[in-house]
Amino acid sequence: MKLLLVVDDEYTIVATLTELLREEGYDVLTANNGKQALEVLKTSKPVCCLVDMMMPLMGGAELIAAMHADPTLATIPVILMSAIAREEHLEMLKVAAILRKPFGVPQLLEVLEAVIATKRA
Amino acid sequence: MATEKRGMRGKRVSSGIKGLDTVLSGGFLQGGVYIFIGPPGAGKTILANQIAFAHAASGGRVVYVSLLAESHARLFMHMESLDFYDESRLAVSMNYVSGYTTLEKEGLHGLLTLLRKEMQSRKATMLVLDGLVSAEAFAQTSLEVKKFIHELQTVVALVECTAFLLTSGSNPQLGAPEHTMVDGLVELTNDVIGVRQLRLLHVKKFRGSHHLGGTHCFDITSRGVTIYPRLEALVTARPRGAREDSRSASTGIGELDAMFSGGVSRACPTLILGPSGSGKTIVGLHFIAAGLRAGESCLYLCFNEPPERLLSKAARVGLDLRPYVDSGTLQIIWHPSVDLLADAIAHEVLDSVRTHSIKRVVIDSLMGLKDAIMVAERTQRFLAAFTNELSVAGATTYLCEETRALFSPGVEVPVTGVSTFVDNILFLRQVELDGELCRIVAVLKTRESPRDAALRQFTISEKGMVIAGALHDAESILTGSAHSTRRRTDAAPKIGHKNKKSKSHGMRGGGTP
Repeated sequence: MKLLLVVDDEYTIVATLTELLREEGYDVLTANNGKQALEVLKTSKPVCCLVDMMMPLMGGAELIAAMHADPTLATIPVILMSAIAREEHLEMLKVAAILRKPFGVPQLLEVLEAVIATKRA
Repeated sequence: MATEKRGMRGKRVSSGIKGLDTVLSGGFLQGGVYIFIGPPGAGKTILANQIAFAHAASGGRVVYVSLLAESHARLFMHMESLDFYDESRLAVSMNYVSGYTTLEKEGLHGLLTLLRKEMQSRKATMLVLDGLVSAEAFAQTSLEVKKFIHELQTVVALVECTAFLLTSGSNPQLGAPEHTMVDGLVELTNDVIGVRQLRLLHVKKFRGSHHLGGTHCFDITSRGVTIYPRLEALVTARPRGAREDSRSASTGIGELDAMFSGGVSRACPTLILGPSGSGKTIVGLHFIAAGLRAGESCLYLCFNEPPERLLSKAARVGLDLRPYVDSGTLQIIWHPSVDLLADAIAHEVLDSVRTHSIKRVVIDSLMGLKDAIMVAERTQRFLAAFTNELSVAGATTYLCEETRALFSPGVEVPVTGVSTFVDNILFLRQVELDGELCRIVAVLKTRESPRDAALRQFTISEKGMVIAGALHDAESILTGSAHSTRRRTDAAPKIGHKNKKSKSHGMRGGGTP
């Protein structure tokens, strides 16, 4: 089963995405901020991380930078999901894809599958 | 503690909303904790976000923590249509985070720790906590809420941050302990008066500073929240200035100037009273034209006639005002009488008068303003405040007011307490005299100058308003049922005949200004 990490401070988003993605056959880990996510990543290596931008204690940009700085995490693709996600974030933050909130389930699954397929290739 | 006291006394944090800063005597006190309370839809979230964006625009840093409120994505989507929304500030100087998971797992203490860490790590100078009611739901007693607020006040003061807590209301079982703890309490309401919406802001508590009490109306448009400080409260806060200009202002009609002993006293408001079609607007246009001729900037506030119709009307009586509109010397503000806020109109006019040093203002008519005041018992105080502020600003004002009956045995003044807001009263009416309709003008009252007590007949033509000599051979004119005193005893010429003759002696007020 493909393991995902969902990082978002809004509990409704975390809860809903977890349920939806599990129904699609994914295994899902969650974190509410960047610091928690880094803790999770010490013991788990998901195939993809879905990361929010603005979170307490450590935001998405800081988390992604920390992952890139760590060779064991640098290869994990990140999808930035945020209401303020923009095209330039692809290059600026070196993320695999962006999802601008609010987004629909088909869009989420399409992007997710594409990112995972690219990683495999 | 010394730092906290110094901060509370001196430094202000602007709300970025001119009207609100006026109500608060300069803004919020830095390091203070303020509650915005109001039912859903009252405007708390928009107000807080507008303040936050203004703060970030002025170089501040904001942390916006929501509990069980709308999602940030939805919040941003709703704010995209508002002028103050600036996405480039997000995740840079403004951070929107959710604190609900922490609250759920760690309670109020955990939430407080999260708030402190966020404020410290982001070097925040402003904190917004959206959804205080959710935090209260995790408190078992009112003491817990008090403790949370008290600790938050301490943290906020230490990190030199100003905090706003948004809530729709307290848990009835806990009472409202936080209201006694915070530095300020701002209530927003959204009422319906008749069929119209009325949004009100009330600063119920504001520690450490004077503020304008009572309610102040506001609206929410694409510009965000605009607050209109209640005019009466402003007058109370700022003493009326002395009338320094002792010169009279010409009415633009020579004979009428004579009736006022040389024109109306500067900065003294004049009520032009009369039924529909009696010539009030023409009198107002002559007054404006005289000011323009003298090089004065003027303003015409109208509710019934759009600017084009008003200018056409002026042109029909020989007053070509269009060049003055084009040059900006004459401003015409037109508000169709639908869903207006009197304070908004008054502030618009006063801002214009102050900015452009406007010397003459015509308000046509009071009915439009009275309708916009919405609360009847406020009318007299509002009008007193409005005319006072216009006078203080150096403007001489005409206020047109329509009497309901075209012909009636009595003379009605449709506003009570006119003496509180006008110094002069000019009365116009049409009367039936010997089978003809005649226009009559009379000065009923002057405050600072002697007046001509005579009733005079006038005509309105392409040459403007022309006033004839005094009427000596008719009586009961003001009752609307005039009769000639000569007619009963001899075959003296009718008033109408006399007037035809006297037109040549009348003073013409028309002509291109």
